[in-house]
Amino acid sequence: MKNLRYTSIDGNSPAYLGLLGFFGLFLLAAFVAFVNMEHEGHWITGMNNQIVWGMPHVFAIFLIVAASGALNVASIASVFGKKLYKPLSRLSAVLAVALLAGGLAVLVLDLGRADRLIVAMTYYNFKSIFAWNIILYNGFFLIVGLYLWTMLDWQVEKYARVAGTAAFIWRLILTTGTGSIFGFLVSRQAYDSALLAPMFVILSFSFGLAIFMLVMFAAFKWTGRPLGDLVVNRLKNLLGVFVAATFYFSAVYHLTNLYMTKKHGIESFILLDGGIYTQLFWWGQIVIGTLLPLLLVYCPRPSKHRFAIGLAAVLVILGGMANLYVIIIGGQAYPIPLLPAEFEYSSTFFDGVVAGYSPSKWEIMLGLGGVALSLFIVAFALKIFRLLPDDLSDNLVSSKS
Amino acid sequence: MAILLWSLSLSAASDFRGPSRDANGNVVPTPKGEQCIRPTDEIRRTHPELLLHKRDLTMHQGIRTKDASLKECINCHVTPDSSGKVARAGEPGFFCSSCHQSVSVKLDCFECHSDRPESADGERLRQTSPHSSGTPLVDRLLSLSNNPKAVSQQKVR
Amino acid sequence: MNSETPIDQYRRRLLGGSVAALAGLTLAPGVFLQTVQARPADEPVSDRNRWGLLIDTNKCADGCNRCVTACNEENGLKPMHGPTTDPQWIRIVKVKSKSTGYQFQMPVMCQHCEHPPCVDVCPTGASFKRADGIVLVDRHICIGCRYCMMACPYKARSLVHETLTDQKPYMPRGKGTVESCTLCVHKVDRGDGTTACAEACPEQAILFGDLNDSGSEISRRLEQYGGRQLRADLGLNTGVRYQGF
Repeated sequence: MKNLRYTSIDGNSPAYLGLLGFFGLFLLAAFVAFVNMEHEGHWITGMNNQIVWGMPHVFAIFLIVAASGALNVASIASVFGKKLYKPLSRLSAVLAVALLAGGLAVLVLDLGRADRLIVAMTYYNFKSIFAWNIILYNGFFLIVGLYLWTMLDWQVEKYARVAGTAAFIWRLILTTGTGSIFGFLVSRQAYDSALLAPMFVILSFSFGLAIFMLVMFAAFKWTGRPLGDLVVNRLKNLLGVFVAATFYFSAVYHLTNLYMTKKHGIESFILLDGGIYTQLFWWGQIVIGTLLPLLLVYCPRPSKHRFAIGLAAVLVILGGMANLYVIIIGGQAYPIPLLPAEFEYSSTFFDGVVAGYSPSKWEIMLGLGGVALSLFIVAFALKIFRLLPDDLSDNLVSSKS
Repeated sequence: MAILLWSLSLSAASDFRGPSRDANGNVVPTPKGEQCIRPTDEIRRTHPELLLHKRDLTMHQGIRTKDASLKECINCHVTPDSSGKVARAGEPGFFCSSCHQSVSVKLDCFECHSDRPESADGERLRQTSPHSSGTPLVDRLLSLSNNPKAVSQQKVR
Repeated sequence: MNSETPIDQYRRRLLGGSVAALAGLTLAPGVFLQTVQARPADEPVSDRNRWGLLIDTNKCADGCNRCVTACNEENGLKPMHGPTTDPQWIRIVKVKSKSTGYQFQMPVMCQHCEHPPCVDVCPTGASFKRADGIVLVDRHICIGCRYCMMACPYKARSLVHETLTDQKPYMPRGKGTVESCTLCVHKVDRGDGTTACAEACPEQAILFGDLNDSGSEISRRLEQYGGRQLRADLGLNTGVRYQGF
């Protein structure tokens, strides 16, 4: 790996400024949505007393989960010593921080009392996994920030492996924590499972890598830097493994539930007769998010094309959003039983019926704003830091790895 | 600190004898009671801490003594002015607002807490007061219905 | 100037009565007054009491929802933007057995669990349980994350979805915070010994009382006829018990 040089981008071209402006429009829309939601209250959204977490949470959790996964490339280089990925570590770490910032922004701006963020930082209930997550998120910023420093500054480079290992362990704990937000909920049949924690770790691997690959393609292409097939093929194979692993966890989760009679209701709701949730599960998560990407990355013919690999990454992201929508919103839509399974219910408060939810434009604007914020941060970081190697063609990277 | 200086400079602004004016010239309502729970200069400095402390005691331990209870503050300090009008929280003539607006310290107590005394008198006031919520943001920005002056005129006549 | 200012005298007046009452209580340790109303205003609540409700579904008359309207009136809950977002602290749930066709209705509200999931999950500690078993939301530190609503097995909690005005002085409520049945804590603290729903029920199907006091009517009736908890499988040990089905 000789003559590896990292450079920042000029960031003065109309295309670059246009890109920032494009993200800026989404940020503006998200700000309008936030102000309106905060001013009017949450009644203007699709969320209500039955579906208490809605579209903003799908976006937020997707971004937060993807954040820790985006760090994978750096971890593989520093922790597992794969030199091939080393040149991409900086981008990986910056993307991780940016995605987390975007996700947290959405989460925080959706709060009923977003003005009380300081309360969330000063009052802690240590039995709450949510409170632990706040600590884990803040710690992630700190640790990945330090890690990035060890990569950017040759004087502290010797600590890169320590920092990388710490960041790797931290991100595993972080995603375990995020999965446990749902796993620790005893009340709802879709949650209440320890399996959700490792499942979220695997989800993070696949979402994060998919986003990383797209950002990498765009960054190399738009700045005219060569990107060899060697590293791309390794990453696409890795993506295939993660997608398959996601499917495995999902299969185990549903098979376990299918074995328990008391969970037959929720399972038939998700798998058979849940309307939009069933559609999203089979078409979104399984077909778009699992089967098609696997075909694209493993079939010999399409997997040779950059476009097919990029498409696979896009499909993984879409399937991932569908997956989280089913977990988060489908899990709430299915009614909670008050008494043993023999009884059925009705009330003025939607007991015993599937709760309705249609996301409002405000929620979608806020969610897309989080995505835009993440990408804006990455684009801006490319200008101020030297994150990208000049050249990543095969002859340069293959000499040592 | 700003609050402290400001309140010290205002030593003679209000006693319990009659209507007084704050630094902005707004009439401060005359309290019902004869004596505040603390001397005037002390309560001006310490009321945030007193209220915060009491808030936690009441909320978590069910201690409902009258001392430093926000409800009691309202019962005593929210009274009609000479024209019989009772200002709502946020309006210049409201007891808390008169100072808080001057020092630009935002109050969110009355987003939840009633700004009316809990007496039968308060019930009557509550019923006759205008209901200003529920208007969509855009409407409110376009019209001036949120303008305190507009509200007070509407209320007098 | 004398150190004994009028303010000190005033403060003493505020506290005076209650000090005597406190002394009266401590004179007889172990023997507690049946009329728990005696808790003075300046004495913290304690785990000597555990407030709860006993609901007899046999008495709960079909189609009646007087407890619901009484709760709304007492706590100032008003219809706002429709049933999906309006808060409901208590609701009537109609239940039917799928196998036998047996039907009944019951009021469901916050069950005031001994081990409340809402308290476990709350990141700031805004959701908390008082020493006397009443589960409340400290709205001052509630950030409106709604995790407690996700965690509650009884759907007992509501978010305030819009700006409110003219709240009851004893029941502050506001936009962006989560709320639920307080077991009429203001009435309990005042010594009313009942709740708005219990008072309003024409059939006396709702009984308020102290589960820790073996002599209380609620304890005696539970001892005699038993009672069941909603979602007893979760082991939350609810303060609201049901009889009749």
